[in-house]
Amino acid sequence: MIQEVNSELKDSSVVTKLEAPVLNVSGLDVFINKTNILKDINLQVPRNQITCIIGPSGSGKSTLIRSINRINDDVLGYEKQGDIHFQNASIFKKNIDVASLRKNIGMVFQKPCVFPKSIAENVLFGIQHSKKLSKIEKAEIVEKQLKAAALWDEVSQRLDQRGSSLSIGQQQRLCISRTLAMEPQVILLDEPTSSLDPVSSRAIEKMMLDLKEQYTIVFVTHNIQQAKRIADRVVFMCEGEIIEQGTTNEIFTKSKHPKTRSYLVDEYCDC
Amino acid sequence: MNSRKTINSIFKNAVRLSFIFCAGILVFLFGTIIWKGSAAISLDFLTKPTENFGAAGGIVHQITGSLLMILTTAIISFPIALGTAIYRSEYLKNPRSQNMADTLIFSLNGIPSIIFGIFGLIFFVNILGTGVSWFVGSIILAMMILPTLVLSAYQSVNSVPSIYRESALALGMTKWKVISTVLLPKGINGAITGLLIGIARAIGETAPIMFIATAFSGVQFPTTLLQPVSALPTHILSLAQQATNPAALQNAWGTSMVLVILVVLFSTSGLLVRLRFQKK
Repeated sequence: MIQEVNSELKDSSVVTKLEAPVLNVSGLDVFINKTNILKDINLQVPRNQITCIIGPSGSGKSTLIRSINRINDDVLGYEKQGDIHFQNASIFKKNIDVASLRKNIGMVFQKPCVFPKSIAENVLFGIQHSKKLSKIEKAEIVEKQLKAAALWDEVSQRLDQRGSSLSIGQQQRLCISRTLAMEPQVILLDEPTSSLDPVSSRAIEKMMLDLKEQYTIVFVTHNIQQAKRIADRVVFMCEGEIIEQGTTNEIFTKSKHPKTRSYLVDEYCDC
Repeated sequence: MNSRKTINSIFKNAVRLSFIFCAGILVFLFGTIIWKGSAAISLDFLTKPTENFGAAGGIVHQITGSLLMILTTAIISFPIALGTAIYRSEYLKNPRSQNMADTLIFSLNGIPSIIFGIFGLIFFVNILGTGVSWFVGSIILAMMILPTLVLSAYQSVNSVPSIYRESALALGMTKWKVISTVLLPKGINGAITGLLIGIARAIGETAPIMFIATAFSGVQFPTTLLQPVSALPTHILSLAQQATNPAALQNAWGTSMVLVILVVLFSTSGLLVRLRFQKK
């Protein structure tokens, strides 16, 4: 009994030290066509950290982060129970402005998707619809965000060329800079490196470590080594449930759950 | 082994034959029309009004009448078709209502053109009392080609991969912004292709307009919406009815040739527009 109280005290002191979480998922259940995809998800995402969600494919990682910016709303047969709070306000509140929620919670997808426009226009694609920008401001945003996405040196001489002329790895960094241009608080990344070569993947990993100074990052990956390299916190999911979560050190060196241990060793989950 | 090769070559020759047959029909048709029609074509034929019920004079009012009706048809049908296609693709998510919408569009497509003519006659000319009017003809033609446009526009809007929609939505864009900046530029390509196919079909239609929009003789270029015009297909019909007169018959060939050239022009410009959009 005393031990329990102690551990609770310890937990709460850790939380206050990290200040209130940016995202708080509580008791989230998701059904698609009556199939229970996510089961009782409880997750807190602390500010300015990289939270990696790992797990085998089909474990519900994507569904979870796609629920956070409500991009799943349009999926046919999507139903949810439970709640997600972003900065202490429920994202499912009635008459909430979903578009402005998504300006604050940006997302980068697995497959880079550049619009059939120039490189510069791709960076400005989202931001120019939410703000009136002068020519100078536009040029500043393009340079700043391409630098932030470690792409500026490669494309500064050809900003008016089409985005699709870039390599896949460059296109993905272009998509990231497009998201950064919105100046969101949180960036959700859904396996952003899984279709990229190792060099581009490492470039994006390095970028994430730089970006966490300013942004809160939720990074879905099925690459365990990648999570080990960049994560502050690791969430392990399997079959729609969170099996275990904790700091990277906790998960990789002293994980409590046998499923976690077997996944980390064999990349296989016997759920 | 040998028999497999034989079957292969029989099959190959059979499909080649179908292609030759198909191309042959087209060449024969075009050849006849050009051979018979070019004798009638002259600058006067293209620029002078009709005399003697078509047996003499030119077809300038038929050409302008057909073009006027067709352009108006395009202006009426294009926005409605694009709107329907976007609604069907982006807003109708329930499979039952999707099925219902498809059934409606296909049913509209299956209605014979004479029914459109009769409907126009009863509803516009008689009940609304418009009289014989080229504008009513354009409305009826627009209804008739609507399914062609809707299906073509729908296919191109709907074939935009959903990752484009999601990427735009994830940037905090409203649905309207996503539609207008991402989907419309892609969908307009299909809508224009559909429009030119639809127009190429509509310009040759006789049945829907013969009761409601056209008169066979004594017609000038219209000055109001509610006047009749002359049109190429109905002119061919009236000339064919005077086939015992060789001069009228020759002008029927000449008018047919002009009509076919216009159809080919619309089809090829449709192709060119499509190629330009694909390059962009």
